[in-house]
Amino acid sequence: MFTCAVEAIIQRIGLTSVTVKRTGVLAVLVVTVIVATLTYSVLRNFDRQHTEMQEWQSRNLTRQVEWLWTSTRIIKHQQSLLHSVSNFVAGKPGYTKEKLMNDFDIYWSWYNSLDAFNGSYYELLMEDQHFDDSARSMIMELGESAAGLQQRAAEHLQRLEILLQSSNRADVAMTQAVLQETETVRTELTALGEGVVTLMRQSMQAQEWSAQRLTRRLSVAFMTITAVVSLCVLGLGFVILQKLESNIRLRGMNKKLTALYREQSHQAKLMEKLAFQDSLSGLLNREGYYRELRAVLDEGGTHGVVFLDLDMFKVVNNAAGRKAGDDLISHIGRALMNECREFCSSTAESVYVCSDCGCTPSRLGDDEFAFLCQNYSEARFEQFVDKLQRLFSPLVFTYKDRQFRLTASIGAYYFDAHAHTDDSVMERADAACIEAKRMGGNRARYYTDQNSLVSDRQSDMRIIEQIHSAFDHNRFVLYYQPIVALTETGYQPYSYELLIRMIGTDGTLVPPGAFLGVAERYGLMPKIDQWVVYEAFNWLEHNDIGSAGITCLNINLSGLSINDIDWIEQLVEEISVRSIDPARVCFEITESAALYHSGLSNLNVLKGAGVRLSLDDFGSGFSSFENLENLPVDQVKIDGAFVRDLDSNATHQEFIRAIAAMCHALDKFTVGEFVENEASVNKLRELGVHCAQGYYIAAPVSLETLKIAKSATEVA
Amino acid sequence: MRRKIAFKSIRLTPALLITLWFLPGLWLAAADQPVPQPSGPVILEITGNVAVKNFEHGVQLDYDMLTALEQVELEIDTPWTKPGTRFGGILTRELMEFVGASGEEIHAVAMDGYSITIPFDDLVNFDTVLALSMNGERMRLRTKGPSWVIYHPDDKPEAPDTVLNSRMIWQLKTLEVR
Repeated sequence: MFTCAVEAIIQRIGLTSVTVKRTGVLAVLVVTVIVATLTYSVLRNFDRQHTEMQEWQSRNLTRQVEWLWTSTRIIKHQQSLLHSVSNFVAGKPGYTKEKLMNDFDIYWSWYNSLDAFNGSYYELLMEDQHFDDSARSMIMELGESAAGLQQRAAEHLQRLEILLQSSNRADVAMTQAVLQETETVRTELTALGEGVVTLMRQSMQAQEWSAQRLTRRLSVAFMTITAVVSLCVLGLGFVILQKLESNIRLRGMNKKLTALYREQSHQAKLMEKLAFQDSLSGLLNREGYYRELRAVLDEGGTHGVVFLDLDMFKVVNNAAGRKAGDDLISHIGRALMNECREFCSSTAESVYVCSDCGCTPSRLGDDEFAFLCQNYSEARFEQFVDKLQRLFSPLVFTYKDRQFRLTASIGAYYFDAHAHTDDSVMERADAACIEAKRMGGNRARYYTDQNSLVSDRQSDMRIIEQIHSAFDHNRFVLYYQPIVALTETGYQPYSYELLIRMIGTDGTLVPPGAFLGVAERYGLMPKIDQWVVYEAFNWLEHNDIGSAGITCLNINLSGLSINDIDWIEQLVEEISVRSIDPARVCFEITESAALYHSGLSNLNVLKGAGVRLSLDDFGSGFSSFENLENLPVDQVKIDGAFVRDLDSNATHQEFIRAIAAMCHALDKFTVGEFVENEASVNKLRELGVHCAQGYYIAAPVSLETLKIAKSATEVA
Repeated sequence: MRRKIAFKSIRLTPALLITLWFLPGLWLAAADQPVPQPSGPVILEITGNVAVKNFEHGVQLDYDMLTALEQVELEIDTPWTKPGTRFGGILTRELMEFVGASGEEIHAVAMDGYSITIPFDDLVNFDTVLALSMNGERMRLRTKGPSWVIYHPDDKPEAPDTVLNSRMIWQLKTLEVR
């Protein structure tokens, strides 16, 4: 209750814990001092009372002893006096009148003592505070009786004195009788004294009891005071401790809350990370990127975006498995982040946004990356794009002892935020990227508001739609272009290269350059290849080209198809199932596709199936004679660029001569493409090239028109 | 109000004892004037180790001889007298000097045969009075006269009452110094 009260007071005053402590200590001190003073005065009072009582009792006891002594002596001296009187009367020698009077005086002196004793005794009794009024009146009565008796005794003694002083012995003898009377008075007097002594004893007992009561009271008071002081101290201590404890508890709770808050914000960050971060690359994902982009667009200012597309990502995925693809993405993520950091020499910890330069590397799709370069100057943006391009020229990625050399097509766009939406910006960057890809990849293209990349991109989409539509409605057609073997004077049929053509929705023929590039960029080539191969196989089943002197049909296979082992195995299976001679089939592949990852082994699988292989476009790109030796090809088709102006370009002549010589040495058949005039034919012949192909010899024609009677061969 | 006695007691017992030791010599030197014989009835005899004598065993003193010495009057409470009683007489210490007493204790005998031994130290520690008068009147035999040894222990609260009371001998007859 006490602590409650103290707490209530503290709460009302609104003391802080420090003042509580100070006030508490001060209050305890004050209370302690007050209690100590009280205790001291009570003890002092008790001590005084006790001392007084002891003195009183001591005096009382002394008087009791003296009273007993006096009573005894008075009897003794009375007898002594009686003895003297009888001896004096008898006339015994030595018992003179003088001695008699001496004995009488001594006897009287004891009466005097008794008198004085009684007088002082009553006074002493009256001093005692323990007697009540009735007892006091009794004492008074006793005193009066005693005084009366004393008076009577004095009268007797005076009568005795007169008798004793008489010279007549008979008179003296009479004193004996008088003494007997005196004795009666004395007895009464001593009896009275006994009453007084009894009273005194009662008084002493009362005093003793009172002392005990006093002691009890004192001990109770002392205990109460001690308890109060202890409670005071304990209570205040408790309150202070509670305050301190609640303080500590508050602090602890605060700490916990802070920790909880931190954890929550950490969780929130984690959630944000999960929502806006790409788990594979560690970069921002599409949502994260667009969020940043929209924020930038809202702010205004000029910024740059980069759209980056890996050139051969599908190949990695197909060739080395999805795990390799994942590793590659993760690798690129790190590389891009480092690139950004390097570019601005940042030490920022942020995962997504480089806070120093405002560069935001992100992954938008499988192999598509984007950068948002906030508040870059145009020059700085161009530097950044250059740096990115250098990173991908090429980026070497090693997976399980296999090296992949990756290039990327980069589209960049520097824009004013006020004039754009997120979609319009990304569309332009994407268009620039597609342009770069169209130009063979491994390069960066800037979208400027003057060029028309966006509309190109839109036409790409239309073409893709057309391709899909062509598949659905069987609007692809096969053409063939003859390849002729050069003889000493002229040439004779050797083989046919199959070419695909697409009929547009409007019924007109779409040139291959218009849709094959798009199909390649958008990964549609394998599907086209499959269509061509099956169509060719069907045709071969119904036409015996051997009877017409044709060695084989050349079918083009794209890089993606070559690198897809599953598809290759299906192809081999198909060849074995069909009733066609594998030797009548020749697959044309490009050098880059053949050398790409699993390309070589897949070619060997094909070779094992008995088909012929032809290396297309040899001489362009990174062709090397070393590779030529290793490739399991039967034919080498020299790139058209060297053949087209063969008649006038001496360098090309020497180049073709070298190729022809080399192929001759390697026992490979050589073909010259894009032959456009007779001079070229002659030149090829002169240089030792085995075959020729081109518009001069024959333009591509629909395969449907070519029917070679099968029965004829069967007969043959 | 009780009148304080003029003599301040010296608490150093050995010093006083030494003084007392030399006193007889002093009194021997003064013995040229011998103590006169009592002219009235002898009320006190002092025997034992006393330096001066007027009879075979010591000094016999009558009332006049005692009242000739320096007198004091004190108000002393005793259990046998009414409060406020005043006693007149001589300090026992003075008396002992007068007779040239030396020793350790005094054996006192009363006329009624009561006797008690008073240590010499008491004379140093307390003011003890050989009372001759009570409330201005000469004490008779029936009022505990002719002389009464009374202790004045008011300023010596540590003294036990009962013991001192027993030493307050009245109707004194002889003092034997030994």
